[in-house]
Amino acid sequence: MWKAIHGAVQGRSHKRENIPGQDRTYSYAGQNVFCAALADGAGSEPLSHIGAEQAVKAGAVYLCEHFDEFYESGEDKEIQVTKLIDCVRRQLAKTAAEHGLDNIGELSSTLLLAAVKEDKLVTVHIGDGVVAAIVKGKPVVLSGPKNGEYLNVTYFTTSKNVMEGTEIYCGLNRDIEAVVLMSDGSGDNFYDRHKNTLVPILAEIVQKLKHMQEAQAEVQLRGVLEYIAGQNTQDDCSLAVLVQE
Amino acid sequence: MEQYELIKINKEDLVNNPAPRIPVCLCLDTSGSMNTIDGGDGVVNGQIVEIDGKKYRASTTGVSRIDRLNEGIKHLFETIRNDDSARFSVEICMVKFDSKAECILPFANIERQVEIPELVASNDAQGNSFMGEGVNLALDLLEARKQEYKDSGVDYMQPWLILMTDGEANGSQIVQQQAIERIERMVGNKKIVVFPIAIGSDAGIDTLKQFSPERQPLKLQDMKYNEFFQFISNMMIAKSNSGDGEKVRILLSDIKGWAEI
Repeated sequence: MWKAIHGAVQGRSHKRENIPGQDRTYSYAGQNVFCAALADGAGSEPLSHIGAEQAVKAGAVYLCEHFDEFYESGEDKEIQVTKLIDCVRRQLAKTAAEHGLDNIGELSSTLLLAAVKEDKLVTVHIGDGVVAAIVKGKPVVLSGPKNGEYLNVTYFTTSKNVMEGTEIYCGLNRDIEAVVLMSDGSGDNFYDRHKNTLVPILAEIVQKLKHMQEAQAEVQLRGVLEYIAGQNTQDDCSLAVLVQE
Repeated sequence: MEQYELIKINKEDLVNNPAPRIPVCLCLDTSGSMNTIDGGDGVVNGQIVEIDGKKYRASTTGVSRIDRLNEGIKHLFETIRNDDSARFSVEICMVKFDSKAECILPFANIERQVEIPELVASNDAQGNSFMGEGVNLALDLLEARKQEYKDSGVDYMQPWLILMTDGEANGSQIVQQQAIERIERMVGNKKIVVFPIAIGSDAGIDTLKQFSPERQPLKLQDMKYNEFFQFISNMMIAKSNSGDGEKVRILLSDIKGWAEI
């Protein structure tokens, strides 16, 4: 049995400017699939937190409903991701219309998804942030940030060239104790950009969260996020953890 | 050390990635017309002088455009130095252009740039504004700085070019066209953010537009340089803090009272 623990806190720069945090997390279970999702709204778009909210929901539900197609897609994984992105964009278009926005670009966000079904794992990673796994008590990078040349330029669900900034992982989860999705703000504290490694404390945090009741785990995770948001980043911080009980 | 009830984290448990750099080049018009008095109690002395092909009534006192520009640049450096994040991220170089283009302040960490050079407007009666040459030099310097970051493994954000002029470009047409094409390519590939700024009513808006295919030139109102530099330093601080966002958006409400588009 897997469970999801997730949360997001507003970064110092957004607090100072009185701007809502742009990270959103979500979890969904259905069709015997457990899914965790995280999205970081584009910093340049004032309403991107609304887009991030819609992206995590639409993305998680889609991945649960189409898990088998993803897992069994072999060489055609890009087709599956394209369908997922189309689904997210349709939801964004609906939301844009409701808010009277000109285009879905104003609702841009990254999107990170992890889903498990029995012993199978699928992750989808669009844009920056990190998808990590805890394997034998150690954190490993499943997919790193997609930034291109500039650290402030990444790929969003709405980007024309979104596939260039998308990474998919499909595999067996037998050795994987947990999957951790993190936004770039959390990555500033847990992920070494140059070595492409994660700090050991991440595995310890997950290990402790695993043994807590859901409500307690959410509170403790929030404590962790509040702490790291005050350390090596000014950005919003979020984590979504999918862990085997 | 911070204590939590059930999960303890020490600062030492976390990664401290080096701050990504934001290279900024100020590309500034120092042609003779920048001596124009635009404020203060100017006293006209009856003489007529010709600068940049235009005739002006000479004044013995008052505050010139170049004086206000110098003041604004000092303000920019002070603001960035006083911000805990921006002073590690923002790196500024200065290029001036009149009858030639010249780098007067090379890139460095802002804390090492103790002396900020004072701009002096040219006395050249021809009033040359070699803007194309200035922009080309600015782009070369930004490219070279990016290469230094790459060589030393430092992360960086999109470079910024701030182009300020009160006149028309009148350097080599070929060089100007090269600069415009370079900018077009770089903006198209999201490799640069350009802020074109028009000073006074004679600034060549159409030329500035060519140097900035995506962003309309800002026209400074009433020579409010300090307001402009405060705004630009706020944006640099926000960018150094956020670490994301591929676009730098200017809202009309942000510039109300000191500039127009």
